[in-house]
Amino acid sequence: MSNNAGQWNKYFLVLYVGMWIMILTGALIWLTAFLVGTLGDTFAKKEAQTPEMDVFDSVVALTEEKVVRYLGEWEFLEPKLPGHFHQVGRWYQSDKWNFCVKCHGPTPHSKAPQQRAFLNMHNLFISCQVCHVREQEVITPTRFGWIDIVNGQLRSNPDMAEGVWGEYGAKIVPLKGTQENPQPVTLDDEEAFAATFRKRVDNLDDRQKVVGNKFIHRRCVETPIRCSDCHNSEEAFLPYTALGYSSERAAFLVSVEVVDLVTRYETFYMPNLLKADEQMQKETGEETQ
Amino acid sequence: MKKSTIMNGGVARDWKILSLRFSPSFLALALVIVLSQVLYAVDAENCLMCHRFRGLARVDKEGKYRLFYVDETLFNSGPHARVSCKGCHADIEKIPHDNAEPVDCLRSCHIEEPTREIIFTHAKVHETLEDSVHALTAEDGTPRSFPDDFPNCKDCHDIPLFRPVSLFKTVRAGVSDRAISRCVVCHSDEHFARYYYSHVTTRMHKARDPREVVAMCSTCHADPAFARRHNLPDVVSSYLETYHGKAMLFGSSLAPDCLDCHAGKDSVHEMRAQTDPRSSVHPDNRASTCSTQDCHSSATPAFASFDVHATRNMSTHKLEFGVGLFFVIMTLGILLPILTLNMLGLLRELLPSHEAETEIEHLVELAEKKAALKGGIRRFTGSYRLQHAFLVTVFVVLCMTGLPMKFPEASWAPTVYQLFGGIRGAPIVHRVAGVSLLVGFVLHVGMILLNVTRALAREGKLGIRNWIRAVLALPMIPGPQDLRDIITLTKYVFFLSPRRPNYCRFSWKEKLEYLGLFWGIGLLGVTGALLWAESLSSHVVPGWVLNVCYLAHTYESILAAAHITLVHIPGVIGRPGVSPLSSMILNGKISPRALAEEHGGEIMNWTPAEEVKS
Repeated sequence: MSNNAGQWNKYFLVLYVGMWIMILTGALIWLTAFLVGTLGDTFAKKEAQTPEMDVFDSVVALTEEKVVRYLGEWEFLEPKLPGHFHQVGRWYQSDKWNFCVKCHGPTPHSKAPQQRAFLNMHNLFISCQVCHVREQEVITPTRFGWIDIVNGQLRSNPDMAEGVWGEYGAKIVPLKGTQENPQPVTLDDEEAFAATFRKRVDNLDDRQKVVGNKFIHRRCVETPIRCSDCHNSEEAFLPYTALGYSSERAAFLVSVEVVDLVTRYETFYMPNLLKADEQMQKETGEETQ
Repeated sequence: MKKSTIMNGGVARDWKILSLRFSPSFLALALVIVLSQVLYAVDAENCLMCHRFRGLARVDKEGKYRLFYVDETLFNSGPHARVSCKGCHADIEKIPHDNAEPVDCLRSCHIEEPTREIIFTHAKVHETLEDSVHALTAEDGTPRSFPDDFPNCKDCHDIPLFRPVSLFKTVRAGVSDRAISRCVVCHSDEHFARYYYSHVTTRMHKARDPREVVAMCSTCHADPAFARRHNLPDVVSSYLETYHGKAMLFGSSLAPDCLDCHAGKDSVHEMRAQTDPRSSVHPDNRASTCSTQDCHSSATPAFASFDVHATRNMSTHKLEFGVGLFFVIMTLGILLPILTLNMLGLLRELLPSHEAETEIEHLVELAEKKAALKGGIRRFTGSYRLQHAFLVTVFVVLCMTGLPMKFPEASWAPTVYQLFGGIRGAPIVHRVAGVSLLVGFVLHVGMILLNVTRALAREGKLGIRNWIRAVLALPMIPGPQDLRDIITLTKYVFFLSPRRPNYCRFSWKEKLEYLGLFWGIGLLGVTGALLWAESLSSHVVPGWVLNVCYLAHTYESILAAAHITLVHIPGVIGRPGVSPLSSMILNGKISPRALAEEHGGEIMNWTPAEEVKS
């Protein structure tokens, strides 16, 4: 018994001594490196410590910059956009539900020069399916609801007065199913296909990529819903009041002011590949920015 | 209108609040109350009909994210709130509009400068900038190299925000409702009163927090590639090493930032190279820049030789490099051998020699007899234990208020510093603890010398020679035996000898630690005092001595902290059988085994009379 205790004491002592030696060795190495590091050219050390970023990382890093505003009474952190003069405040809640944004991002519209920013703005509260997917057999185009952009569950109309403009944590989505049991229009097969496609895209040949891409977008219509389909004074595509918009706001969305604005911005969409470079530059105004 | 007010609340709720001083709900409430009352939206063109949506954005041809969103609440809480969109985006004539031209910050906007009733413009800022180090052309008109590196307005500025302060009775952040209540007696429009109150009081202190200013300048000046292109030193790192930089990092709004020293008196944009005689940091002007009423007002011109941007780069700062090198060598020269011996000593504990084990067992036997008769072996008196407790307390306080200052960017630093009141309280606590340590140390030395004198007086041997001899004979004073003990220990831990040293009352390690206190407390005390009263110090020593003092203080603190944590604590309470705490510091008694292992020489030195007694 006492022999056993002696053995255990020995083991414990070895463990104890080993622990102290490891701690002290580690501390000594750190201290030596720290003290020696206090001498010399600080820029050279910074350069040595900062890994050289490739183009991808440096572009991504630009989007991750943040800045803190210290205003005495309150402080806040906001994204820092290079060259952006106006305060951003905070970023909007990203859409975790809709699988389209996994590839296209939150600002997917880039073709129509006059409309792209407006269309992207609508992406805050309208899901892609509303304009780009049509399944005539099962969908009545006038049936829409709201879907939570985090958990993908249908939810009641948001209180517009409580939210920030266009940011309700939910998006308008077309509905299918019965009146009693409505379901959001989802692209389950396409979503599952797209998930596999993203994983295996590096190993696919050119033909497979084209076919795969076509499959993912097979239910996208060639002529999506246009601005004037919703913003017109006769028959709006979206049922605003049923979706929770106040009667004043619904009236405003189809008012002369908005309809006129939309009419002026809406131009005939022509695929970019048919346009000469000069024409594109003129339309997009890239040169002036 | 209803929507707008509610929206403000929504924005406030959703902001990521960083402040620890106020709860988020309080901040949200404050934001709603303060900002909504400052609101003075000028959106006659109804631009916000579209631009109030955060998703109004696109990616341009070069892959740049272009956001066209305008945060209404933030926009309306700054001096631009009264400028209409068209005031800046003048090329936009109609809605819908084409791509907007870049804004010309120098254009005259519709705002009337109230004192002279002239149209407002930033043109004067431009004139100042053109005569500054940030201009695209040098003084002689030659174009600067790397013109893309030189800043335009937007590189340093985004829309400014009000930082109002209440000056009604005490200075605090925010709008003073008492003051506003007086304003509205004549100026009946409360929006007007709040806007101008915020505008004016923002200008009564720094319009931007020092952290924002330093971050702004760091965008270029902390970039090694930028600095090398323009042959500039690492001014940001060196600034962060100073008390100025550290106080800034801890959120002191009073901490001097780049503009406080480098911008001229007439304009923050009046920034010139230090070689320019008109520059505020030109060697001829530094003394007056440092000794302004708000800064080091009582400093002498000698103070100006303090180098705020000192580094330890051998090619540019030989003195600082030399001082740093001295302390690095000293620290590692002390710690490396001791720690090596300590670690080898721990290993030797696992494989003790038979001779050493037999000797220890014999000594333990003797000590146990004495302990049994006396009810324990007292090693330290109550007075010494009290002094030790005082030293521990003061040391911990000094470390907890000093190390965050040394590593202000560490994640733990603000939390630890906040325990002592942050940047307002912790430096005071640090100084009080430092003075306490000095006073305690002087009392300790005085008490020892007094005891020596009394002992000599009792024996009737008073005299300077006897006194020196008695002091040198004190048990804490090293002697030739200590050297022999080090040699014996070295041989023992390297398995060159089976005999381990038997230290007397104090081992050579304890004596080294004790004498280290004389060096450490003396050096830290003197340098700390000079740095504390930096302006007064300039009457005695030139400014560059403070650079040396800073280095000595910081390196010596690291040596002290490292010695205590790596040598003292593992060597005393980390020893097997003693951990986690030695009872000696509580009751002053040492166990017979600890005495035999650590101070076997003391047992051996017991006189026969003592042995008989025991």
